[in-house]
Amino acid sequence: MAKRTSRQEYGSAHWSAAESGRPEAPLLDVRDLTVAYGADDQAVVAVRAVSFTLQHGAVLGLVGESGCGKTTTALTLLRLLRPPARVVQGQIGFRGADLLLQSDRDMEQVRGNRISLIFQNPMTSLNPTYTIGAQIVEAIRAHRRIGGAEAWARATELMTMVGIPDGPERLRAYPHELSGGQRQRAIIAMAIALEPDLVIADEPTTALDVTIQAQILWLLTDLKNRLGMSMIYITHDLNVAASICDHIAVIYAGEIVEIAAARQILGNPSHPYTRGLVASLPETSWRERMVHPIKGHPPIYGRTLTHCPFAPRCAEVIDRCWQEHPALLPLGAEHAVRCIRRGEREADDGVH
Amino acid sequence: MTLRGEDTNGPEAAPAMALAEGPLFTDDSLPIRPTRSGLARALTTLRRWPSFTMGLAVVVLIVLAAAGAPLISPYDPNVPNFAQVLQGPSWQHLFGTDDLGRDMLTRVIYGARYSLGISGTAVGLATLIGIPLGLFAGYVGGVFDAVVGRVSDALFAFPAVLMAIAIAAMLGPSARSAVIALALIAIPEFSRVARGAMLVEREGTYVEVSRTLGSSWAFIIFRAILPNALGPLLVLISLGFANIVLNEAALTFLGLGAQPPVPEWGAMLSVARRYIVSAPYFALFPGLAICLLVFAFNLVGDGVRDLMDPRQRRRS
Repeated sequence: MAKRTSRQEYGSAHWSAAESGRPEAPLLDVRDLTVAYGADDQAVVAVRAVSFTLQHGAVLGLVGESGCGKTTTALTLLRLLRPPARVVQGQIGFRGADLLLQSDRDMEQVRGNRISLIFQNPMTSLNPTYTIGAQIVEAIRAHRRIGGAEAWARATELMTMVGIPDGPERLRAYPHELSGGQRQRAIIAMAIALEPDLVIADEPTTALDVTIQAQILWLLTDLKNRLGMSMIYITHDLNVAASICDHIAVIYAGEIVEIAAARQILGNPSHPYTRGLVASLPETSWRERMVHPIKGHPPIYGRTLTHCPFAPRCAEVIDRCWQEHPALLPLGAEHAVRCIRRGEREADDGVH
Repeated sequence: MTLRGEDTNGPEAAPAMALAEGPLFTDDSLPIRPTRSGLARALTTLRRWPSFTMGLAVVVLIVLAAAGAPLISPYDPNVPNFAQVLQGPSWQHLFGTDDLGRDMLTRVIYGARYSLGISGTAVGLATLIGIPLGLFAGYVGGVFDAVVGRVSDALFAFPAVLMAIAIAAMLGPSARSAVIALALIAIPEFSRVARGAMLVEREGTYVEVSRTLGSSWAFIIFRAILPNALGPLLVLISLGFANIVLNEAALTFLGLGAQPPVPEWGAMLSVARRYIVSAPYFALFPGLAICLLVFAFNLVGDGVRDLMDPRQRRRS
């Protein structure tokens, strides 16, 4: 496991907004988070030494292919993992406390209240036997002792805030009477009902069509600005991430391989995987009328990883890539990359 | 993804995302259908499922008859009349008389009270104890589920009659012993079905959403999941009721339940057995009553199961 390298380079490569001139304590400070499935010897590592910070009001994107560990990371932040998944090491600093050390009951106070999570599939995320009003009220009353009428009024307010027309009547509708976009809005309403500090959105628009996607993105940005929330936006779509995120972390095989400001990731991608992702965007190659995917498929690694995770698929691989596990190193202000062919320890090309 | 306004010249130029600005209004609104009233939909359901309707009607009738027994019975169920022993049906005694000259119609109607009462109590206990137990075991899994499962298996191994004999031996044969025995038989079955329903629903995304919102386990099990698991549970309760009525009659037939002179159907059958050749009408009516009630509950149970079947979904 890359324990050694991540701890060693923690000081310099740990992505911190202190470099960007904002000295106050971050809202979320994740360090060396490692999550594995299964018993020690056959363990599969889903999240490997992931570290990042998130400032108040900022939006961080987690971008990667399916199965690269983004959702696992999100679930871990809320301690929603079920066995056989377990946290092997790490710290999740949230407003000064380590979430990994909290009891279940304390976490129940955090979920929905301080940190909330928006799921991917609006079709199944709502309970079919209750009206959406009842469910929004449930979200509110899980953490606030307020009366039914007051909760209902707040629910109506939320419906308007998320842009569902005819709010009060819609509250009495059942989920199957709403379209996908409206269901996702209802879920967003539940997620922001208590004005949490952090909203984690796990591919909230993947199951929706493109026009609705745009509206939902606009809504999320608007809500973030109005309520002063931070957001972690998980997606496999770089374009979407670039449109609403301040910073983007590109994840591959459970590790962050590049993390930078959004504009940097798209405009000046460094890691070969990121470059491949950018190149595979249809917009990038529209003139050629061809899409350039990255060949191969994402791997699953176990406890010990002694080479670069991307080596099997990398177009720029050299022998050294197979011999050591690269560390995440800074590449300039607000930009860090995990590749031995980049970064400050720039070796001469061709050195074996 | 084609939300674009800008041209791009390749990976060097950062493509700008032009987001849809302006009003958040969705134009994908479904019209709010004026839903027909609950009563209208219920009546339509009844019309479309005649067997269910019939079964339900019979059950309701028997319940009403049992409730209003003193009002509708022509005679007193316990006063003997030795002048008119073992008579067949006549205008005076529509169901004939029994071996002590008591009017059978009256006794059958009063018998409904005992059958429904004893079975109903057992069903109630099974529902209030077995179902939450099963739901909880299914939700938490682990050791608790294993222990409950093993205890259930042990109870399952006993036939109802054996259980009733054991309890009657301990507490003396009575209606109360019968209730306990029947409940002990039914609780493992109810908990097993509830556990199964929970295992299915537990994986639903809405459950995870509830957990994400910080709801407690009690809320999740009983407020969020239970309404979704209602289908198999309602079928269970209806068919379970049928089974328990039958078992209850069998227990009293064997002398393990309510004791004479109580006008209970199984007890009546037990006495009528002796007269089956000379006065067959004696056994006929209590037997028919048991059949009718059990059949009606079965129809209700089947009907509920068909209703819950998603393939039978119809627009209301």
